[in-house]
Amino acid sequence: MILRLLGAERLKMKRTWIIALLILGPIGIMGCMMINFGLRGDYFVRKYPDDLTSLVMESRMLLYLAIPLAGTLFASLLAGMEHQGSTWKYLFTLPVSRFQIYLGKAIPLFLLMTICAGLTVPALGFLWVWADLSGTIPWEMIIKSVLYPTLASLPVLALQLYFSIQWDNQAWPLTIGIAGILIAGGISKWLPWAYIRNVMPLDIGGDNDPHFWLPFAICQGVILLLIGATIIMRREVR
Amino acid sequence: MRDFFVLLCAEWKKLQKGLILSLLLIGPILSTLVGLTSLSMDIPADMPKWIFVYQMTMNNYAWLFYPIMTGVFAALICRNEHTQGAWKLLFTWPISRSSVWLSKATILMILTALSQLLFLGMYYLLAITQGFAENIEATVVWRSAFSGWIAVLPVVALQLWVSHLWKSFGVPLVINILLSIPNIFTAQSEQFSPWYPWSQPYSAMIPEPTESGILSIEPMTLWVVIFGGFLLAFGGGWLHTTRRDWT
Amino acid sequence: MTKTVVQTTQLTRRYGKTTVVQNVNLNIKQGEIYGFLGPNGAGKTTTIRMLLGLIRPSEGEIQLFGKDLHKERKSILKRVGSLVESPSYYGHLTGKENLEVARRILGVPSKRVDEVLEMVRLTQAAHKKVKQYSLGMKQRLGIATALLGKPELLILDEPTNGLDPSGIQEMREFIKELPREHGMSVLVSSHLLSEIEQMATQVGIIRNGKMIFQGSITSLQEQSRPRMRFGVGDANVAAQLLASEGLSVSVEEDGIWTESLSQQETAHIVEHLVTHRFSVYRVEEVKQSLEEIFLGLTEEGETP
Repeated sequence: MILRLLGAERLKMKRTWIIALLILGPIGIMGCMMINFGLRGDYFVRKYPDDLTSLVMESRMLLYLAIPLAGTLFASLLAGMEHQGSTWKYLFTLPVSRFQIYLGKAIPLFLLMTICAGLTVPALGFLWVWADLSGTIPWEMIIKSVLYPTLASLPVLALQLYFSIQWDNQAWPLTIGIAGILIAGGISKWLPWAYIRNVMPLDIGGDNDPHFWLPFAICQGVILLLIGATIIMRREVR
Repeated sequence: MRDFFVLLCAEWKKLQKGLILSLLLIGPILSTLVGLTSLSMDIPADMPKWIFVYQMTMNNYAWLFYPIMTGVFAALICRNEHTQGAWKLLFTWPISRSSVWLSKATILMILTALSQLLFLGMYYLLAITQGFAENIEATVVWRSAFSGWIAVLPVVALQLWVSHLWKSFGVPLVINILLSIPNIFTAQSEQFSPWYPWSQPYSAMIPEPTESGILSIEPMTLWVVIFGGFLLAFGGGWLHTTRRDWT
Repeated sequence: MTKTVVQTTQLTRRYGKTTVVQNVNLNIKQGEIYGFLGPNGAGKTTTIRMLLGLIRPSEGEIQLFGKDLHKERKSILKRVGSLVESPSYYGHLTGKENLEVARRILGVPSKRVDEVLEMVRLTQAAHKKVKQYSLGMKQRLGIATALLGKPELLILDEPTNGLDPSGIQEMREFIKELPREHGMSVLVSSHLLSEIEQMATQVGIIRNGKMIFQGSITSLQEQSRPRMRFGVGDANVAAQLLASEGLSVSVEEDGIWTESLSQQETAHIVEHLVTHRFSVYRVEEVKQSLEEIFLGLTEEGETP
């Protein structure tokens, strides 16, 4: 059943900005990093102990904003598509449980994030070669520094998905998401937006700890997803 | 001109005040909370407390939040017309299309100005409760807020144009966010920051404790990037709105 | 005996303090076209939403195909196709792609998409984006989507909304064929009797949330047997005379009215009046149209 829902979701994405964002995101990250290294590469040599640290630390700044922002936008686009054509009421009259309908949005959201992450990894590998950094490409570190924050964004994804489905005016979920990412993450490390920073595999003087924060974030993400699904399942559709 | 004022009143009536106010408050409140936590940090000895807290409060707010929220508001004030198909209605009224565009732009400028006022208000509130309000040099913070508002105007015009174009709420936001992201680097880069429109609000809002006129923006940046960018986007959006077919 | 497809018992729905639907007992039998009538805001859409499980009843039960909707929602909805209010669609996709989305979820064979497109005559426009469709085409696409899963029960909320007269005619013919050719039962709501009377076999009329009539179209027509009007000089006295003969008559401005009469009865009355030297200048039979009955039913006590 869920596979059929995913097939339908896949078709709905045709000709939408979701696909554009999927490609533009990783390209944008690479472009930004190329400009960054092009302009300030010499400075990084002095600032960081080695090339690996400079790559991770510099891309880190970008990733912990870009990943949750992409998640917020994907969630809003996926849900907004249904609000726009008033198709929620149609979906809920189909012989499919509402929980599955909810999962039918949550799984594509997660898959989109994974694809984005998957594309970012070779983009950063390319950057390594392009910026003429020393040694072989540190794939393991690159994968970790993209994958960890993507997984740690699960609670944010769950929250954003719920907000985007709950409100038909997307100004709400987007504002909450943007405010959370850009500001709230700095207030307390216990807020979901901060986890993305907490799981960075490498840090200088920060209190990152992927061994604690990664399982914590994943568990919280699953719990928030279930709570969101339960609320939407009980909601009346007008 | 009469059309314009009539429309402006209508636009103002259409705004969902509660929603707008809540959305406007989220950023300033959270930023002030960041400012509050910064009080427990070590404040550099050569920096007055009020300016350090202002800097910390302003950092997160102006860096990305303010330009991105400008895009949210642009999409929000066009949302009603898109979802209810009201563009058609609007353009069948005996009013000039230019005044429609102009009134929308004015509303967006008012909203971005309100955001700045609320931001300053929250900062003052923090200062009063923490007991350093007397030390604040009003000219510095007011100049910072005003400069930030002037600097966001190109983004205002461009986002309004983009929001007119797309029915979907998310698309203008995708564009705005993609264009705002490079701020992360350009805001710190001396070569790029004067030229990149999205980093202007941040650069303009950095408090400068000098007696350097009304705006804390380099003349070159002000005239070429901000004023030029605004004219380009405003004119483009205006031409497009007045000439396009509404289906 | 034919099977009951939809049965609600004492269905009630409140929003806060206002009761939108009150003790509605809907009964739809297999193969029927059930016209659900009522003025705008009478509670039709709320009832339909409850039938589809979109909102929950405050009180009462809903049985579809003899099963409880609350308990067996999924297996019931598998057998139902619906179109609720404004059609739902993805504007950025073509008509065919829209159906394909629904087809994937329902898991029906892909040739069914072409079939339903053909049924609603959208084959020509199948590859156009739906946002370029006219209102009538969107409505037809909505019907096509509802038909996709070969439902046994089709629920259509105001399906002729926004259609032009020929579109309405076409839709009517189309709906009429469904029970005959596909064995479906249809629930179709409308605020216009004229739309329903030509296709429905049964009607239910709802007003202010209450069901005020339920039965066949013919029994609705019976509610209005034609009345006779006698144009008589000195009507009041004449009426007294007839009343003393045991006839139920009423005096109105334009004469004396009685319930419908047989030919002999009519002749008898005329004779009676004439022998008593009343001048009879007109005798006529007045039929009430269905529309008048409907308006009479729905307007009664409209202003409390």
